[in-house]
Amino acid sequence: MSRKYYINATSSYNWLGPSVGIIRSEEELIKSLHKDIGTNLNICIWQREKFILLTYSDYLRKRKRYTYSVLKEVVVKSKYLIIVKSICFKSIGKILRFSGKLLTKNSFIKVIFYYPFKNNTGFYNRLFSLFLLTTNYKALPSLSLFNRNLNITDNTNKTFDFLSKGDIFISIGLEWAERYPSSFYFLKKKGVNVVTFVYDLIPIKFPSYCFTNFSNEFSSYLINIVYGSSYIFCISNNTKNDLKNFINEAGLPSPEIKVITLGVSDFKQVINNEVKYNQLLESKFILYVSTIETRKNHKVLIDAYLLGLKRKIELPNLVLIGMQGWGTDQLIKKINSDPYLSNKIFILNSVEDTFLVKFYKSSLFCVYPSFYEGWGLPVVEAASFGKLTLCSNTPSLKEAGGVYMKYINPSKPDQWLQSIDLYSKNPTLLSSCEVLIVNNASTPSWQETSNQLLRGIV
Amino acid sequence: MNIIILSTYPETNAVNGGQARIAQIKRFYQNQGCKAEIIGISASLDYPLNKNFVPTPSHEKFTKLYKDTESIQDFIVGELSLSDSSIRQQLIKKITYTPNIIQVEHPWLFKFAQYIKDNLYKDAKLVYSSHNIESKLKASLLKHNPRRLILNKINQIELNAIKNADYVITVSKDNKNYADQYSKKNTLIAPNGASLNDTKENLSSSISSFRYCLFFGSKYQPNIDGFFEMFDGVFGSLPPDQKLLIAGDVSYAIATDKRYVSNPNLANRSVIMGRLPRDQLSSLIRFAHCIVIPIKEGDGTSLKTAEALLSGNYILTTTIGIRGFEVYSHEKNGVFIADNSIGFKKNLQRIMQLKPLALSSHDQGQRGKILWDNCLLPLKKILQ
Repeated sequence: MSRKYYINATSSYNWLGPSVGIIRSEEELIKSLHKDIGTNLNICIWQREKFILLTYSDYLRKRKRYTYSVLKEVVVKSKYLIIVKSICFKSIGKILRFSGKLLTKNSFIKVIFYYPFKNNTGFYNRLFSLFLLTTNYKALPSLSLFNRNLNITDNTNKTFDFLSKGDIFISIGLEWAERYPSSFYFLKKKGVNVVTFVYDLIPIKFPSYCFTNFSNEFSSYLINIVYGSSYIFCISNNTKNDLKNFINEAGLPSPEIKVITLGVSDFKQVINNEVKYNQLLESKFILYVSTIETRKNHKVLIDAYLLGLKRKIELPNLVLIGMQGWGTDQLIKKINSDPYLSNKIFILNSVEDTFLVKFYKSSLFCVYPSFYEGWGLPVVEAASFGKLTLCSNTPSLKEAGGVYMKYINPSKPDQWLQSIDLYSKNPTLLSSCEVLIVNNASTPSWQETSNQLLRGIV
Repeated sequence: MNIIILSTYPETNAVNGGQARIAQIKRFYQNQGCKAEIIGISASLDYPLNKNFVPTPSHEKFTKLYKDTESIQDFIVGELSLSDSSIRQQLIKKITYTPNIIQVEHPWLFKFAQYIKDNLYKDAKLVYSSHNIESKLKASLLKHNPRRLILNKINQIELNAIKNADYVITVSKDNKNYADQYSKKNTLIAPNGASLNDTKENLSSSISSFRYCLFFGSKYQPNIDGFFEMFDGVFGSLPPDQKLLIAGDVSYAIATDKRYVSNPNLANRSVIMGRLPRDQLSSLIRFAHCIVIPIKEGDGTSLKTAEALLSGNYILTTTIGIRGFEVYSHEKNGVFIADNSIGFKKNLQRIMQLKPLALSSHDQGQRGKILWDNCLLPLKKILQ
């Protein structure tokens, strides 16, 4: 009898907007696995405190349906905004910002309070601690051990009722804010093969780049993943090393960890004749595809451009494609309020794949000055278009870009300025790099990722 | 033979190791046919009222001598036993028979013992007993607030007790070596032991349904500091179906510490059990898969270690925690040692995956040596 595969599609199913990062990975892997194993692949999503099964066509239909334009409608119509909780922790902030004034005071409170009251057992201990802090505990009577209810409940029979021994359950989405990863351990004990991805350990290594306390929540999630996974795949050797260090420091058991290479979307199929962004596309520009957040280090590019202005060096336009993350309001304000920067730097949000392709193709080259990454999908994506990327010299980006990209210290605007200037004014040099990339750089497809995964879980 | 044991805490409703120890010493002397009572001044309001004890002096009396009383209440009580005539008289009145032996637990009331020997009971022998080297312990407790004058005084008080006692009772070789430098060479080692406590045969079904490790202890600062030092950082030693139970007064101190509140990994996998009746705690110890004793400071031997060894379960502790019981310190005997946080957490993870410990009858017999009656046998020399 052939094995039954189940993939958790919750993150991409509920995602509102163009696919990026982990959402894209989940979506592309579902499509590729479906090609590989057909009806043996079952799709499920977490809904109303349990997993339910979906047909592949239902999943695809939903993915096409959600765009930012309908989000507005959803936010207005949804009385309790429970939809927010089923997406992901990160997106709560984005959605609240996006929906802005549409939220009533009442609905805002409901969203904020819903999140921490999710089934985080540690929360109750912390609540008890708070109680003790406000109480003179010396006055407390002896607690009777025999009246305490300390049952550890395994409710996987209800929440994963379709799974049985020998099945394979793949969960690779944005799930650290969800309650179900704590059940993976119980599934594994029942003989279900749980497969997970670890993309990076940035919230633990660099907590200052994340929401307050997110580091703690994320480490709790990782603990559940390590205990609950039969197969853990890291998206780079660097992430694997980070995970191994985490496992060692936390006193976790040492599971086998494999490395999987994420694919590049097949943009060749994306065709759109709509006329948009033409003026920008026809200009000389360099491209940075990434969420705008502190870790992504857009600041070094701005500093490089301001330095160029000071030294009277003419630079190409800089196009930033990506959503605005938290903590970057000042940066955006600076770009918009500075006469030079506002004419040189263009921020585009919610760019659909059809136009992303055009930007990749029309750019001189790409930049990626991020301080830290788990992998570097945009670098590989750029390579698939034969484009050079000037990257920061961090381990994961070096792994993604190999010897074909150029690496620069992410803290040195001067070096960025010199390199941008060099490659934008030297077409022969740039073209020699591009030839090397086209002929040699590895740009695996998602189908290869899917094959790697299936081979890895045999 | 009549014995009085002078102490700054009563033996009733024991919540710390010192209380358990003096209760056992008293019982030992009584079993040897002696008349023995524990008499003293209660150094803290936390201790229960006891007819043999002068109640804890007022706050004014404490602060009249020293403004900051943190961690030195017992030392101040010792000072008051001589300098405050009212307290001195009250304490003398608690002695209802003529003692042949005046034993002082910790050095705090030793000067008072010398006073009553000189003035009232000239023939009595003086015995100094302590399960710590007090000067070192206080220096460690006051490390964040070092007060040299007080520490010097404590050192003098301790040396006075060691030098002038007819017998010195210690709990370990190290402590004996320290005392031997100053004593009349009548130094005995009577290590801390454990007793076979009554246990409830069955735990509640909710607790017996999962595997747990246990940390229990009093609200003694080294217990708290050791816990947070050894469980520092992300706590990943336990899978979702196992728990770390924290029992005793230390659990309240841990639960109210911001290091616990801000560490959800630890909070997720632990349960604050609070102060438990003795029979329930004994049950919890008996049915634990592993007892953790994360102690990084303190002198002497740990009562918790003795009790854990006697339980026959796995033990995870530190070099300091196993002191005095090194003979049992082998992984094949189920005793694991780690002195840093990572090693401690990794060992715990490993132990919790092992089958329950099954000691050979020889090993069980060896652990029987930990029973109080065996540990206190050297005290017979005092009675000769």
